[in-house]
Amino acid sequence: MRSYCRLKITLAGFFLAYLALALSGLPNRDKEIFPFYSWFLFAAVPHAGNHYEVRILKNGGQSFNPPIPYAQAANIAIFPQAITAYQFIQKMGRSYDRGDSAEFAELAGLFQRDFLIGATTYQLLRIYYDPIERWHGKEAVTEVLQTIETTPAAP
Amino acid sequence: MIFLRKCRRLLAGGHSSPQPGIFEGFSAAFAHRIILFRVFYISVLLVAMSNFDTWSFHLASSDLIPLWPVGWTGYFSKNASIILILGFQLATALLGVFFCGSRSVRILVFLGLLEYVAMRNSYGKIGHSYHLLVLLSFLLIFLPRGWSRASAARRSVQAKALLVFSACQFLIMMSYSLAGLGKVAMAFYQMSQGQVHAFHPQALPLHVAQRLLETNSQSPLGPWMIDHSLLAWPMMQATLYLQLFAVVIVFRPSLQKPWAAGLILFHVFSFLILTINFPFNCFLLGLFFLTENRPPTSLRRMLADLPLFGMVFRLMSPKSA
Repeated sequence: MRSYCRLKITLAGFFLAYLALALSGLPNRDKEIFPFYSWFLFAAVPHAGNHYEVRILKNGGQSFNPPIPYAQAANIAIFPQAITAYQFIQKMGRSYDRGDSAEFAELAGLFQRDFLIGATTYQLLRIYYDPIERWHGKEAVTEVLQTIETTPAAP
Repeated sequence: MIFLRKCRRLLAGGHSSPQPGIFEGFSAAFAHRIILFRVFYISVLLVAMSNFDTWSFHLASSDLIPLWPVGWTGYFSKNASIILILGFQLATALLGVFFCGSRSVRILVFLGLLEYVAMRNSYGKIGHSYHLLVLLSFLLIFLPRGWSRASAARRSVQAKALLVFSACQFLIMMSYSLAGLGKVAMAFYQMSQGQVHAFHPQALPLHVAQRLLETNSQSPLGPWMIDHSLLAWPMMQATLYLQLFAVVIVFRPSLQKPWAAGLILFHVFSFLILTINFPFNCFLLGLFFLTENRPPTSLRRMLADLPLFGMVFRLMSPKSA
């Protein structure tokens, strides 16, 4: 009976520790303590606001006018339709807006390495839109934050 | 202990019968759990084998941005580390299928999964499809010695194994309750900011539009859902209800099957509407909540056990009159 009670208390302790660690990661969504996730998925309803987007200007010898959004750049983007790519771009955009140039440079390097095929010139944009209006074709208000030229990967 | 007992009574609504596994058909419930735990370890092997085709991707990918469990990879070459992690997970998963009765093997299975899932998520962004599997494999370490031999197990061993099973159920449903809590808490915040919130008819259409824009993808039901907010509204509210009170259901056996079925349907529609796929969560819901051969519960009893609204049905029942 004693070992049963001890197990019960151990398990209760695990759940309390889990909650503490999972909820401590909430204030900064980029600082999740793996594997203790808060499961706050889709918590906030999206509304009209700022988002970030990457648009491709050049890749290899090819130029694009108008630039192609990353999500539509099938032969240039490694994960064009993956939510991970979208979220990575948001992370880059947030670090740019915070003025954290060291983090931004690191993220831009990782973006080139893990999300793009070949040497690419791209724009990071801040775009303002209402999701439903944009879905129905209304143009978003865009502002180019930075144009980044990547170097070809070493062989 | 008294506090934990009081919590259980509170969550059970003070009226629901206790877990049948604990007080009724004790041995039968235990025998069922033994099979279920074994199936869990077979599913870990399934994870290892179904990801064979990603091995080449991991080996060809660039350096990891390692999460803490794979922080050691910085001391080795990337490919050596990845081969070590993939091989270790496969080997421990195989061991788990045959020797899950041993606690040392269960610890190895947990470490194999932890390393593998950490590696999968060491590319700059954390996905959550395998988190429950890792956490459940951790809880199963606490299974008592001798649990895997149904005939030989003493009553105390059976009780501890059933407790671990309940903890697994609690963990699964807690993840949904946290998801529900996040939505409800944020709904009140957004309400205070004058924004569209989770209780608003436009909530689901906004989620769908945003998601499809983010991923530039098409879903079978998403575009239709954006234009039919009045039909989307009850689905969103049902999801909030199912998620928020999921953890209560662990203590109300009469509702476990319908609730798990509801959450599986939620995942099916999440894919059809938002293209979000959580197949392992569906598997775990089925395994831990739908496999038990329990006598059917009357609809009246189920309604009376409903969180929040059950009180109304209890007041309407002839007994209380």
